[in-house]
Amino acid sequence: MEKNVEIKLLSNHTAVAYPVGRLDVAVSAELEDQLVKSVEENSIDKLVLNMENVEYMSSSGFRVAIALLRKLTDKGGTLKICNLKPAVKRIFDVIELTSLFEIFDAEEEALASLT
Amino acid sequence: MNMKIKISPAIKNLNEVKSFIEENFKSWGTPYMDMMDIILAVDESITNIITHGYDEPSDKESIELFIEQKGNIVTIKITDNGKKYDFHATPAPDIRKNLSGDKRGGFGVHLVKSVMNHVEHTWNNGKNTLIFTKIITPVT
Repeated sequence: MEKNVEIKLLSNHTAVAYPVGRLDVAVSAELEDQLVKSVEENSIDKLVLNMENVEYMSSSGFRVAIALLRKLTDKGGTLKICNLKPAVKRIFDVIELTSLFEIFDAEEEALASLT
Repeated sequence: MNMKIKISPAIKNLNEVKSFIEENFKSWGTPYMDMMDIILAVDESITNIITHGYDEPSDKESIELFIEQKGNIVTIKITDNGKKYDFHATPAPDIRKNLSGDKRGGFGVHLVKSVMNHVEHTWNNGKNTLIFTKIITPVT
């Protein structure tokens, strides 16, 4: 299986995930599997999704973010998103769901909001 | 200026379509965000056509994409011979059900309608035809 995401584990059940490339229907199911598996295996409660390496995202990618939000919320955790490129941020704005996610400009801000 | 590409109904062909659109729009000097909106609309539409319109992948190039830019108006036409669908009857995405896990997705058509200025769908002689219009940012 091709790796679509790098995950950096931090202390206190916290991690930062770095998805890579185009998040479309061709990769979203695999990406979701990789992220959900990592959340379970590493007991991650607080996750920052750093989107700095994602140039494009379709609704399939959006579904991954919703699945992660659901997974973390169900276990009392949180999901933060940061470093959205303009074309990707537009998807969140267009679906009018920016309020559903906590979005930050930088990873440091997202991590600081977890403490 | 125009471009045309035909593909068979298989998800693996979507990257080829997106790269083809990007190369053409870049050579035409189309503004980046407008280009990304058009790629998104084409991606969502063809994904839906392949996923819901055909029972199995085929080698026959039955999905045709035609894009034309005249001045600041881009017209996108997608035809296919998959199952008939009703683009406008698609309900708005249900966020609550997506969050509870009762439903997944439903955002694609909503996205297409949101990023295009006009969308129409017809069904004639066993073919779906989807036409979008996008008014692009004038290049100064």
